[in-house]
Amino acid sequence: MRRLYDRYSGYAMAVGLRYVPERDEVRDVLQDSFVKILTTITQFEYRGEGSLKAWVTRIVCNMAIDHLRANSRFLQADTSRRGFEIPDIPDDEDEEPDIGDLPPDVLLEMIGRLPTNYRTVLNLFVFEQVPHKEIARQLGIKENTSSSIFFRAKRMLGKMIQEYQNKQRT
Amino acid sequence: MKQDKWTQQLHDKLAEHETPAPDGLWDDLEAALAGVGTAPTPAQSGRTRFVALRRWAAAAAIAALVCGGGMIWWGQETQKMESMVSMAEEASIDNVEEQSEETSLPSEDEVQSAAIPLPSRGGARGGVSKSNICIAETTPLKEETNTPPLTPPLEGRGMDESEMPQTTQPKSEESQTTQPKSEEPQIIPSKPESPTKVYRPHRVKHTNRNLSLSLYAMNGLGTKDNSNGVMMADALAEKYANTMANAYTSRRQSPIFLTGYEEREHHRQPVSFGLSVSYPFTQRLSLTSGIVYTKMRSDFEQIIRTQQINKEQTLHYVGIPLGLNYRLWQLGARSSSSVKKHGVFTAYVSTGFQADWNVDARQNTEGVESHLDKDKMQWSVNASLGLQYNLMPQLALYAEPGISHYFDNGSNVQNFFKDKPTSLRLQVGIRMTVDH
Repeated sequence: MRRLYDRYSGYAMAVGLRYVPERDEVRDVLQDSFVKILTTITQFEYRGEGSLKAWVTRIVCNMAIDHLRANSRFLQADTSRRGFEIPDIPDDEDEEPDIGDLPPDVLLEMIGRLPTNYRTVLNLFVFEQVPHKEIARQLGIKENTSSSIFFRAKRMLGKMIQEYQNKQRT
Repeated sequence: MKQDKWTQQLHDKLAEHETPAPDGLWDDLEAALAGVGTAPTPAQSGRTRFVALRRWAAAAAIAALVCGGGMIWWGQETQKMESMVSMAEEASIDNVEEQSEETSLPSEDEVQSAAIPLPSRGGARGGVSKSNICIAETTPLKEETNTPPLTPPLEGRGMDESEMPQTTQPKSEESQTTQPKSEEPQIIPSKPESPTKVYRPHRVKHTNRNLSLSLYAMNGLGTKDNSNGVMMADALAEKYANTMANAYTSRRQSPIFLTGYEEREHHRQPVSFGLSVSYPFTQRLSLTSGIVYTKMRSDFEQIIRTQQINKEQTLHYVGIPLGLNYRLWQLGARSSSSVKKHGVFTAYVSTGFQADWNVDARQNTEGVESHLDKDKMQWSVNASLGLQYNLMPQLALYAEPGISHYFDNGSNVQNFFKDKPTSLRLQVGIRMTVDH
């Protein structure tokens, strides 16, 4: 049990921080997640390489989203229809910055600075690779709203990265 | 596509990223798990140890009770036997006096006025055994009235005396019951003959009609190990690919072979404890039933590359057996000495079936205890060869090596019965014989 924790706690922490950037809050999420992981491991069925890790990830994600919902920041402030309404963004198609040298911690911190709804959609789509249709279902929004949020989140993140890189150069 | 590539870069950037978990999280987790009631805290393990101790104490108490009961029965039986022996002699007198047993009975009726009426066993010999029992109960009364005029010429009983000490000596406390014994002979000399040989067949017949009670332990022979590389079933692979968090695998269309994954099973020998009662139909054939508790443990190991998950499954069954025993032969049973029934070696064959109900199913995964779905009812048939050795007339040790077959009950529970439906088994126990 301890081995399982030792093996996956660091990874779970990184996943948790993508959704909940506040360290004291992510601790709660992690604790709840591991309680669930360790008490339901008997129901876990191994289904191929990486499935244990994927299972841990899924539990942490769900716990994190539940946490955001429970704290109502997410539901009322962000996932309300109005919160998710995205004004049309001029499709300026600026070049995506190269992220080859970007330290993961910095990227994680930048994701943490995104608004909660942007962050959640970006996380689900990019890192958990959930299709927009499924994200929409899970968050109770429209499918095209999810994709709009994603593009906007991506652009915001791109800008942050560019700013960071500009600072690094100077 | 450029966006997809960038997105993929983002994904890859954090795919393996780890951030140290907050200090003390494990401690909090342990406390939280203890609250949930799943972590093996010292207090809990202490409690389970105590419970285990209590169970052993209970088992020991039952064993002690059974053995103690056996001793008491034996004591009573020897006591009864004393009077039986003497009464047998009297019965034999009847035989001598009147060859017809039917007619001998009325002669005792006056004596039996205080006797407990017992149902007649039917048949000529049954009639004699009935009289034996009745007289056994009433001898003290009879002695009181009859002893004074009688004197004890002991010559005729020489052979009997050689047997008497063996059964009577263990009894020390009852002077009253030994008294009839000493006075009993006095009746005999009053008659001219004492053909004790005539009596003995009756005594043998009498002991055949008894109930046996046995306490036993049993285990299957051999354990079962199984080790597998595992390939994912197509249906599962599809389901797996469609799961949310594993969406990336949906790109893989080929069957997924679970490399670096292994499952190992180790089914330990089932251990049973039981209490059984047997009822004889004839001298050789008896019907046996009772109650059996069986505990089965299995270890499962899932090895996922560097990770190993150990699961320990414990199943508790309570079963009811029903079987027939057929006595093949007896060694050391001198037909002339019915009383001396200890030291008798008996061989018999036994066959029957058993229904087991799973009363509890638990699984312990890396210290996390959980309940499993219970197994369905389990039918089995068995056949065995039994060897019995009588320590005392009423108490015997026995061993029954045999073979049993467990039918597939269609459940998903993996256990010893599923992996090894037909297996050798050994049952050992203590059997008590309760005379009617």
